[in-house]
Amino acid sequence: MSGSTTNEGYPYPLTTDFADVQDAYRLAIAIDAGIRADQAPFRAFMSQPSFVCRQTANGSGFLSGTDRLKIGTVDWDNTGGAVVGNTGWNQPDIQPPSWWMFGCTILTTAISGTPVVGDLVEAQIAVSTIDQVSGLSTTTYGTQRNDESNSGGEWLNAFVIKSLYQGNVSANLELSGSTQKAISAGSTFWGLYLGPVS
Amino acid sequence: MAFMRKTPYERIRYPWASDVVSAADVQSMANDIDQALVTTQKLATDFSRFASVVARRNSALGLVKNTLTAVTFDTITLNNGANSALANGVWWAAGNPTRLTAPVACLVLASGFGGVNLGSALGTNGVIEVVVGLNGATTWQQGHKFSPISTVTGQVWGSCLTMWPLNAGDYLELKLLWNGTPAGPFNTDTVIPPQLSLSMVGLKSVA
Repeated sequence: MSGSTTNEGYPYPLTTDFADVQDAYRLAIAIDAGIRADQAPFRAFMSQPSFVCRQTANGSGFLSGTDRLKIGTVDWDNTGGAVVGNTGWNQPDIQPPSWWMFGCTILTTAISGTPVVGDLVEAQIAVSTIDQVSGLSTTTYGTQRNDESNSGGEWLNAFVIKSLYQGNVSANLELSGSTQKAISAGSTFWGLYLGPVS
Repeated sequence: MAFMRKTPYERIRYPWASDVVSAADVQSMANDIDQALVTTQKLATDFSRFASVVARRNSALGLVKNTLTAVTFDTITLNNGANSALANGVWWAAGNPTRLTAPVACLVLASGFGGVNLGSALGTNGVIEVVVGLNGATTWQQGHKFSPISTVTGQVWGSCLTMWPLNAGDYLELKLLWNGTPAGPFNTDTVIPPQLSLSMVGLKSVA
């Protein structure tokens, strides 16, 4: 083949070339690769990585400190990072540093005693990321504080946009109080890939 | 007609090696290229018209005490599903005024917002709740519940940001609740009215 199309550079034989059936093969392969490459941005955007998962049983009660949402069911995941039984989502190791949006609805349930109005109740999205150069791990948070109202359980809705690499992200409940509460079944944790860092 | 092989991605047929090439071989190859370009065009069209919807409740809606109430929308600011080659159907219809229904299987970010006009203060255990719920059930809802200052009256608002994997026909609703000492009912706020916005952010499968 000695000719190629003007725009995409697809190969074709000239009238002076010796006819070769493999010309068709080379042309077909070039067109195939070219079209697939043209489709790549669309496919990437429409199937961008994301996950939605839920806790399906009430957690263990505690007075003060932090507990993490435990994945009981994965409603959607095309990252491979949301796994039933885990207490966080793992970013795929092969993904370069990326921007993500994470969100959660943390529901609380009273385990013992009558909840005391004003006791601290806080939802956290804890984002741990690895520095590519130093290998050091750092954790930052997106939070919503919504103290106890003694009205049949709190509903906390937190969300955050963060960049991360080889990260681990969890949805947490932080308490400081005098009666035991827990993360309730139905609490939801989700994430959506936004794009590469650079 | 020669024994045709296929390219790895778009499955374009081509003759191989020592085959004797016929006009039919070129025709089938051209048809496959044509189909691949049609697929690419569809991807481009879908990509450019990811559907979204914004629904509001502009007039006052009475909220009975301690009753989770689905908001009936009366104003649709944006409902571009029917204009989208991908969605090819509206999100909202007058026959089901509380629902925003997914025209196709997709992932959506849902922003819920709601305000209540408190005619009197809710007291110590008063709460405002703003949630987004799936398919009319209370088994899966995401949202925000908070306790306003016990003596506050007038406008109070809550909001939430949620994400949902939806099948075609699944619907989301915006629900509001208040509870507290007064008997009520109270109206939703009309100055900054309740609103539910969905933005399609991905598909469950891409052809």
